[in-house]
Amino acid sequence: MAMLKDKKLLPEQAFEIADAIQAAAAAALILRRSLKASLTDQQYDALVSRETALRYDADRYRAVGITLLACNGEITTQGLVDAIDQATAAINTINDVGRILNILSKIATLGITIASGNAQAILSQMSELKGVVKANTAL
Amino acid sequence: MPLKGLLIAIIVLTVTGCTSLPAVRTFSTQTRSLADSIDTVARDTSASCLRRLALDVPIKGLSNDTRLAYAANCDELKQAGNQFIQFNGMTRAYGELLGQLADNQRVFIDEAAAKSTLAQLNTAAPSFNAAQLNAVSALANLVLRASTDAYRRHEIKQVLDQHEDIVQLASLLRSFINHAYLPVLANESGNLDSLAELLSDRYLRTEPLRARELIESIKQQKINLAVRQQSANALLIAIDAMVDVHAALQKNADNDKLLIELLQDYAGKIRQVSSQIQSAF
Repeated sequence: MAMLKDKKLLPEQAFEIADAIQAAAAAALILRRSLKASLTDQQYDALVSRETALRYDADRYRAVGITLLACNGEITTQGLVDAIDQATAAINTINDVGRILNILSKIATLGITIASGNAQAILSQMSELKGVVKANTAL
Repeated sequence: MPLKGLLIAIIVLTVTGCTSLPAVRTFSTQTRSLADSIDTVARDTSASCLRRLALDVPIKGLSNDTRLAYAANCDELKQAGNQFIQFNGMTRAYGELLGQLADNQRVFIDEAAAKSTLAQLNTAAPSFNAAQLNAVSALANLVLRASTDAYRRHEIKQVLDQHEDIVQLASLLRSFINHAYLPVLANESGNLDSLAELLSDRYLRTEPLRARELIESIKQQKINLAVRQQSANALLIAIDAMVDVHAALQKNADNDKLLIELLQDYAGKIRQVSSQIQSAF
C-alpha cells in the first residue's frame, strides 16, 4: 500500500482519518433521512452511493492504521521479544541432558561421601555440588 | 549429619526466589486464552466488512466492478488483521513461555529418569549397591528439582521484569480494539441503519414481503453486533486485568491475598470474554 511508504504516518493519524471519513458517511445518512421528502430519486441514490463509498474508504484507512499499529508494536516491544528469546534458551538449558548428567555425577559423589559418614567431607561435597548446580543451570 | 537433615539443608541452599509457580501457571493459562480471544476479534474485523458487502450488493444493487473494488478494501482489512494476529502472537508466546517455566512436568526430570541416568553412570564406574543407588537417586531427584525450581523462578523473575513492555503491549492491544475493531463494528451498524431506511423508503411499497424479511434480518444482525461490541468491551477490561496481575506477580506478591484476588478477578473476566465470544462469533 503506497500510504505505508510514508514513515511519518502514525497509526493514530490513520485511525483519525478513518474516523473522519466514517463520520462523513454517517452525515450522509442523516442528510438523506432529513431531506428525503424533498430529494429526487437521483439525489437519493447519489447520497446512498456516496455514503457507501465513504464506508469502504474508511476501511482502507482503518487497514493502514492496523498495519502501522502492528509494525509499531513490533518495534516498541522489542525488549519483550528479547526476553522471550532469552528465557526460551534458558528452558532448553534446563532440558540439556549433558548438564543434568553433570549434576547427577556430582550427586553420585556426594552419595558415596554420605555413605562414608565423614561430616567434613559431606559439607565439602555439598559446597562443590552447589557450584556444579549453579554452573549447569546458568545460561 | 542425618540424611534427612542433609536433604533439608540442600533444599534450603538451592531454592531461592519467591515467585509463585502456581500463580504464574494460572496467569499463563489466562493470558493464552486472552490472546485467542484477541485473534477472534482481529479476524472479525475484515469479516464485518464482508458482512456489509454481502448486504450492500443485493439491496443497493452494486455493479460487479464496484463490488470487486469494495471487496478489495475488505481484503486490505483482512491482511492488516492478519498482521495484527501475528503481532498478537507475542501475547500468546509470553503466556506460553511463563507456562513452560512454571510447568513442573515439562522441566523437571522425574525420579525414575534420575535413577536411570544414575544407573548409566554406575555402569560406567560401579560404585553403588542397590540400596545406595535408591538413596542416591532419590537425593539426585530432590536436588535437581530444587535447583531447577530455583533456576526457573529466577528466569520467571527476569521475564516478569519486562513489565513496562507488557504495559506497552496492553496499550497496543487496547488501541486495536478502540480504534480499529469497535469503529469497524460501528461502521457496520451504521450501514445496517442505512439499509433498513433504504428498504423502508424504496421497497416496502413495491416488494413488501421481501423488504420486511430483510428488515427483520437487519434487526437480528444489529442484536448480534451489540453482543460483539460487548465482547470487545469485556476484552478491554480483561487486558487491564492482565496488566494488574502481571504487576502483582512482578512484585513477588507470593501467597498474597491481593494476588489471589487479582488472579480470580482475571479468571472471571477471561471466562466472561470467552463465553461472550463463543455466543457472538
